[in-house]
Amino acid sequence: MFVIFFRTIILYLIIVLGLRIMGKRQLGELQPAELVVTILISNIATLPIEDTNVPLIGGVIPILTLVCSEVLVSALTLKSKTARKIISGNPKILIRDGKIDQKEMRNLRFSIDDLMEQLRTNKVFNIQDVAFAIVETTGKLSIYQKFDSQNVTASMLNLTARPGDEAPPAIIISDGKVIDDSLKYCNLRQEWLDKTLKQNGYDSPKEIFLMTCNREANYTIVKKEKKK
Amino acid sequence: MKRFYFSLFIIALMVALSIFTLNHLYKTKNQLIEKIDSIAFSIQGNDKSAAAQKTKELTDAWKQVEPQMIRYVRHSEIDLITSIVARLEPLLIYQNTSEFMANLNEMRTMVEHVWESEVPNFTNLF
Repeated sequence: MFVIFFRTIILYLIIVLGLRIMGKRQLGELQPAELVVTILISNIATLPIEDTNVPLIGGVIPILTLVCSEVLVSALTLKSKTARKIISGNPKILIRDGKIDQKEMRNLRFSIDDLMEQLRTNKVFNIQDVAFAIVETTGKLSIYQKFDSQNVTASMLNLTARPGDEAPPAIIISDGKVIDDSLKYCNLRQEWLDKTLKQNGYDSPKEIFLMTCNREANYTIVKKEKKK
Repeated sequence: MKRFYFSLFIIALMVALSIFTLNHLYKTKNQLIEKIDSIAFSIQGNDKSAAAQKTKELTDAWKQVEPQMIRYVRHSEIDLITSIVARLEPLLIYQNTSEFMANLNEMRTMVEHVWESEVPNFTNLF
């Protein structure tokens, strides 16, 4: 039993290392090659875990080979447009100026239900509102709406940003612990934090569950609930 | 680019490890087959004491290489060779020469099979 236990831990660590080597991109939307690698790794890892007749290295070598191949192929696709086209494919336009490209939909085996679902997910309920709908290489639908249907933006209304509008609030205290980097990000000091907490009736950051603050020192405090 | 070079390093490491294990397996195979052939030669020459001595040497040699081979060869094949090795000495002590020779030949075939199945040739790859 201990053999299986330790093998599982070792393979877990190797897979985590592998995913770290592949980078954050791997954890989000998957390109076809990345999906293949992810499926293969999950299958290969189970073999040496389940079957102690398989040497551990028989699982480690293929996992590391797949991870490294993925990194090398990613580097290749970064440099070469042709390689990118072969490995990841091209984005395809499904709707152009409110008109559906039915031939492209057949090529992609994209049903009308799939299309409508993706449109609704993007908060578009009328095809006529769509200027461009593009199926990305990850299979996700990106939509560019016609000008009449676009959400109003600050630039359309000629609004100027107020100070602090372009810097989102940061977490200053998380579950009783002060995050020094966030304090620095907000250009604030520990003294300000102590004073603010006192003003709000708290003696210590340990009493706070969550505190967020922006660069204008506008803060929100959520008190920690007592354990029952 | 850090990841790219790290991947290249890991690939180089894996290639080096594969070459090392293949080389280790080749040397082990040659060493074992030499001993097996020598034992068979002694039996054919009716030199039982020399065969007994060489069989002990073969058993010791196998005990030495088994823990190393188990790290990169499927355990089922190693287990089979281990069970054959365990039978050799008793068969010789009880003078069951025909069974002894059959087991010796089986061991030779298995050692060669392990080597052949690890070589990255066309048959093994496809």
